[in-house]
Amino acid sequence: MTPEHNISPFASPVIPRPMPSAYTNKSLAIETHDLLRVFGQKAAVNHLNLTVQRGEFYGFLGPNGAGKSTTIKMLTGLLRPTAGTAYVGGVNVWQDPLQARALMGVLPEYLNLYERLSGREFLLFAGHMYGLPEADIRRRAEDLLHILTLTEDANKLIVDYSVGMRKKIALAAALIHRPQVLFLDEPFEGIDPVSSRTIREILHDLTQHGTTVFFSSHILEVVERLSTRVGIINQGVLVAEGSLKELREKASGENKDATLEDIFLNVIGATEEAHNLNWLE
Amino acid sequence: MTIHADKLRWLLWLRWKTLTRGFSRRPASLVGAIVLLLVVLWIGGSIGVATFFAYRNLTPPANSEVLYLVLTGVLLVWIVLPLLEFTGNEGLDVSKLTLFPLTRAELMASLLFSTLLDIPTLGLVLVLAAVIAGWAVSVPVAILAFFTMLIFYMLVVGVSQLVLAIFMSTLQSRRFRDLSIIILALFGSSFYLLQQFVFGGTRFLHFTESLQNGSYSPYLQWLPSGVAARSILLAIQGNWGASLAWLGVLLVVGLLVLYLWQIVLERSLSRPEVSGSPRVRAQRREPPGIPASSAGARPADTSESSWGRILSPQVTAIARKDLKYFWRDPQLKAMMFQSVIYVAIFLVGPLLNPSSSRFAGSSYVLFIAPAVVLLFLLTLSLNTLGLERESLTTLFLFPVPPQRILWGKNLAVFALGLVELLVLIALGAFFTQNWNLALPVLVVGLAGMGVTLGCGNFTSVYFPQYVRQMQRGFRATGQTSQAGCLRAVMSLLMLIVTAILLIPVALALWLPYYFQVEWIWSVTIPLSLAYGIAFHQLVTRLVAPRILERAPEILAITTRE
Repeated sequence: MTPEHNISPFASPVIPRPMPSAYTNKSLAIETHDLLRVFGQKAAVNHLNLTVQRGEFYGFLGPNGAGKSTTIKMLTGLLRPTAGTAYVGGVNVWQDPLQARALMGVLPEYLNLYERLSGREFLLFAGHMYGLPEADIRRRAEDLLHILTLTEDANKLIVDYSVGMRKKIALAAALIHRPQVLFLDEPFEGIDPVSSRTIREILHDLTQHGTTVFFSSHILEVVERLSTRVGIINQGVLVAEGSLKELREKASGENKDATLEDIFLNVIGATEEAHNLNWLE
Repeated sequence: MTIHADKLRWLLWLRWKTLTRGFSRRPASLVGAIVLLLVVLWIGGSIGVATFFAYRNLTPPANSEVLYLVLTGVLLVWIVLPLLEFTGNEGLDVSKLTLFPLTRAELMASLLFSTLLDIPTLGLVLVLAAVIAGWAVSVPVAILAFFTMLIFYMLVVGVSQLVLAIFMSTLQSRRFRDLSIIILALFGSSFYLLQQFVFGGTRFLHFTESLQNGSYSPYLQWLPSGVAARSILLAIQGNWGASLAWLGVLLVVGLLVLYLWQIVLERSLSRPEVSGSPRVRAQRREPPGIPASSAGARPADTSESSWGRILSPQVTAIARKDLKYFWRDPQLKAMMFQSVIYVAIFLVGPLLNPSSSRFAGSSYVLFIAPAVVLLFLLTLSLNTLGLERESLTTLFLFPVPPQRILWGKNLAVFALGLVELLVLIALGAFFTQNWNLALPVLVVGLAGMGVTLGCGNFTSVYFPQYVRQMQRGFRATGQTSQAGCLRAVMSLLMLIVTAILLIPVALALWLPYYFQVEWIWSVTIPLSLAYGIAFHQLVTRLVAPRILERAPEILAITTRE
């Protein structure tokens, strides 16, 4: 199956690129060319071509098993693509991984944190890993702990944190070096409404200052509220991409009031089937 | 107390399915189960055979004292081991079953029957079967002994579940889980010391005399195990009325235990889950902001000097983190404590018992010190990336040059090894009064550390292994067979390779000493140090770039995401 067959009319056109180089267009925050990942017989991500501009808030949507996390793992250097290239901040993730990692902050789906460090120790450790000066690390760590309401629990071991607190400390570690590109995989899962609002404001603030946020979420309301552009992936293929307005026009036709949920269900081909559980009535 | 046979049948079907599904989903676990089965058969069978002959051949009251002790021991083991989650009986997970409209009787019955599918139960059954066989002097007594052991079995399972339910909140606390992991790990490695202690204690307490004098039964007869024993012994004496009365008492106690277990379990399951103290946090009023700084992330600065790179903030941060982990992670802490026990066995033991030691009074103890330390270092450095477990994903997200990752980890292990080496050399030199050997042995030990850490870096990068997160209980304390054989073979192979590579270091110390030309040490010892440092640096430089190249593959092996 050729890439052209897999990309929907809504998706970005394929740009053939025969030889991957270590660097590419630096005005783009994220760029992928024919990114492919095959597990056994199944292509989890199927010739994905993606471009995200600097300062964009890019919402990456898809049903369970669509390939969202696999894409993020390949973009962050945690999973080797079967084929294709990925650039972050103009740097080829697989040819200059250290440079690429320095540009990005990552909140992965599974938070594999250093659980036997306290929240504060983990932030200090992360700051050192990013090569920040000691004074900056300490100041930023305290700022982040304060903003994410973790100051009181900063000296507790992460193993004793709740799910939401783990997510917040992981986010703080991803932010401490002020990344150019921020990858967030389901950032709002398990987060209380107060913290969720704080995080949304932080992320919005970041994009205002030129940081690109690439995030996947199942919470369509959040994606709808925050994203400047949305990509919808289904069965490893980018089936739709554009601003909410563009998607609305393309996917929902005449329905100008369509919500992102309507668009999403329409694009992935989900049909509303009436259940036949008469015995429930 | 209604029991629907159909529900019971489906509950037992569930237990059977979870058991077989576990093996079909992870065929490797079948090997672990077979090993456990053999161990349980061996232990249970040995105890069963030994106690059978004790019941039959010892003169009264020693044989009845053995019965009291065995039944009490069984009861205590079934109480204590579940506390360490060395699950004596897995049975069914009742916390999930409470969602369904099952009666207490159905839950109790399903639990009791499903325990028959647990491997440790086999050992228990063998021990209890030996009681029946050992005391079956006639058919009526055999029947009574059978029912007594049946009720006792119900009681043992019930008591262990009751204790688990009572201590559920404590058992779920992180500190207790950590402690139990360390205790279990140390229990295995300190068997020799425990053995000495037990035998010493046995002699001290005059065990055999106490058996012959019947000194235990006056105390143990009031325990449920004693009640069971008394019922059998009274039947043998022909006092059937009292025997049946005590059997009735045992049955009542057993049912009471099951009832209490059910009540405690229901209460603990319906208690709201609370993590930490309730705390209402004031809502944040300040506007959100990003910590501002001109400094951003910096990848490797290649213009630094060698020492600058080796002792860069990233290296020291990784070393500090690892040292904290060695202390805070129960799995790593257990490894450290085990090394201390090995030191106690191999060095301190012979030193404190000069008559039993062929090393006594010689300098051999000092020469062994580096070997003990290097063995310890090898266990920590052979799979240094794997020991990060799931957190390796986080480490690989940071822009840290791979050499620094290895240096940081080596620095932490080196610090531990150095402390251990210094202590051992000081002890060895003190006891043997060979202070003149301390410095040469120390330097040779340092050289050996270089070689060992170099070998560890090589295997960590090229042959990383999955280290299972240790949990309480037999299911995760090393009896898992995942990569077990491969790991053992590779560890042995690496031990041999490291030993071969250490030969020049050992010869640099040993040959001049053997031929009594110690002045040559002034040449050979510095040379061995240079060899160790050069080996470590060369290997680290060669293998480190492969961390970047193989990051996804290393993660796939070590994190199993």
